[in-house]
Amino acid sequence: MGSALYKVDKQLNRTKKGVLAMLELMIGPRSPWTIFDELESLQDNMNRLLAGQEPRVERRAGAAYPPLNVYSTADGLTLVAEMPGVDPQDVEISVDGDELALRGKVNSAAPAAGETVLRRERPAGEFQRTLQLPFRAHAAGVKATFKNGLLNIAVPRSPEEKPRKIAITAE
Amino acid sequence: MTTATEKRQDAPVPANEPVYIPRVDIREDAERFTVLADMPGADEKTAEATVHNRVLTIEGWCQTGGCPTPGEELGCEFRAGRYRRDFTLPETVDAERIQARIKNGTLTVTLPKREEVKARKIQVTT
Repeated sequence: MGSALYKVDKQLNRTKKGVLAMLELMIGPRSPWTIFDELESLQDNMNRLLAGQEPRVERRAGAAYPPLNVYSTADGLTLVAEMPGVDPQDVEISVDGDELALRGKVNSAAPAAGETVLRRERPAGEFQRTLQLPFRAHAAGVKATFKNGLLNIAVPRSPEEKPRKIAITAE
Repeated sequence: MTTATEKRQDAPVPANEPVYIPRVDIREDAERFTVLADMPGADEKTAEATVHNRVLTIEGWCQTGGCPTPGEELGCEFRAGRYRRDFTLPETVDAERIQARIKNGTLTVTLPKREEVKARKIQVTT
């Protein structure tokens, strides 16, 4: 499937309120499945696919990839992106001023020869997501770690944007 | 019951934690079925695959959705919680030889087919 997952999020307002409003627009918590467990057979899935029916999937349409959690920290922001199955080598993070871009590819490997795809729910293809930060980032200080499918990006504030304490001198 | 991976840690799971249906890809070839399930945040200690009465259950637990250092949450598009999904296995699967592994938050369950149902090429002789 060559469909690229492409989504650009731009935030014009630089205030924290703006960040919240922006995120609320694109987000909504995933609806949890709390009552019944799904029980279905491979045979059923095959029949559904053969009949041209949509597989039963919990999916939010139009959600940006990757889903992000954003936290403010003492140094700036921490972003956590949910990207299971992604090879960290395939992800590129770039920071330019107050813009942070994530791009890469996910599950892009074609099925092996002789393999039939019976079901495909996981996102696949190329993605790009751009975020406007509420401050200019210190690009050299950005740190990213990847563990268990969660990408953690710490974005420190640029030194000239850090709040300074101004001493008041008594006359 | 066949436990395909290590038993989950004994840490208690809060009852009110949300349970998500992990997204799966299912593939088949001559030898096996392969189930790939996205369980971000789960690792080999918190993910589990069990087979009981020809029902494969995959479970995982994401303990943290987030920030390693304490900070104010500005936006949230995913949360910690449990993952669970059940599949009824076709008769062709050899339940004794099911294997599971997890890497980068994706659980891969390999379900080999029974020897007798594998397609075999038969040499035609004159």
